Amino acid sequence: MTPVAKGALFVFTAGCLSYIFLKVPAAQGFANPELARLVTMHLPCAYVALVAAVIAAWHGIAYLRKRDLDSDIKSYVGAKIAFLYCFLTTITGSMFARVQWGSYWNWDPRQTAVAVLLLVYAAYFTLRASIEDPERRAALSAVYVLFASILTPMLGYVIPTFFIDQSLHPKFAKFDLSYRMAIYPMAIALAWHLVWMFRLSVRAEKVNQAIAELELTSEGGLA
Amino acid sequence: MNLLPMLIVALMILGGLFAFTLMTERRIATAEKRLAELENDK
Amino acid sequence: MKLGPIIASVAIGAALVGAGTAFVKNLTPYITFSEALKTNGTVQVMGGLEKSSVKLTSGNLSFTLVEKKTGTRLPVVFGHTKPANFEMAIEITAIGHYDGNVFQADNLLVKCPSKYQGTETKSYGTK
Repeated sequence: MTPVAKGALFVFTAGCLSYIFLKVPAAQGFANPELARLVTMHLPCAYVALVAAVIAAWHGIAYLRKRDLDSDIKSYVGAKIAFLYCFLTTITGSMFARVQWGSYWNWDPRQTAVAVLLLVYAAYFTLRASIEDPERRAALSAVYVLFASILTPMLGYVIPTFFIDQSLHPKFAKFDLSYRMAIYPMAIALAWHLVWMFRLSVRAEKVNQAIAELELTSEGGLA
Repeated sequence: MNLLPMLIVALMILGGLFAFTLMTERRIATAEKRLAELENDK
Repeated sequence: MKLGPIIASVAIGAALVGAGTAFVKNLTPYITFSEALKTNGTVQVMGGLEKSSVKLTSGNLSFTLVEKKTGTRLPVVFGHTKPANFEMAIEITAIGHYDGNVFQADNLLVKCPSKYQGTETKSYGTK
């Protein structure tokens, strides 16, 4: 990203943040009305996690079709970012639960589901780490990441809604304009940042692989 | 102030994201230098 | 040679589906009121708050929860400070145990309202 784009992203994010703290009102009816604003971080993180999961699946499919290891790297980076945002959603959600419900963790249906989802991603990283051969690793990862990506909206949203009567989460959250004006721009800011992070991480991954290969061959040459 | 905890959380998340990408950028720069050196050595 | 990835992915898929169905059945931490009456240990129950039943006697908060599906009523006693948005709660989760007479709650969790809107003139938080 060019310095100008970086600056623009920074200003935009700072703007979103100031809006949340200066313009979004405390929400009535909550145990802690002031801290209901946490939802303006919690939801965007969840949206962006889904975007990252779609990116991971997209490049996973691309690998399976073209067998290009570049796609494998992109899919891997996408999954890493999806995991990061699932984790951030969980953390902000847990804080929200503490101030509004009175407990960081009480195995609410959504909390249980997201815990499983985080384990699904953890298994993906273990799977990658356990396979040496790059092509085999890429093929297996691509198949697995499709499961993980489908499970991301399923476990994050769809399945827990079947249990919404037994959840402390609201059935349909209704946001007034000021909340929507905070949530969507924040989601855009995070998604914009995701594009930057994604491209950089792909580059970093490629450079590191190239270095590792060169070092391997030069060591082989010395021996 | 009541909002302070949330401000800290938001700044940690957003600041963390920016710090992470900026650090990755620097790491890539050094790694690319090293790659060029290795390629020259060959 | 190509069989390996296929077997592995089928195995992973089967494991995921198996784990998925197993846990979907247990996705809720709550047990029914009738189960709670029979259990000695700490359990979680969830029900609607019967607003007319809320009483504050010598620092003890007592109220009745109504189970949505069955309409069963469960008297609950809570010995700590009343949660801030207790009156507005549609649903309450009580964590505690049944002592043979009432449900002794150690902790109360209050369901979030579904509306996010500004307080304007009203202010809550003062008892």
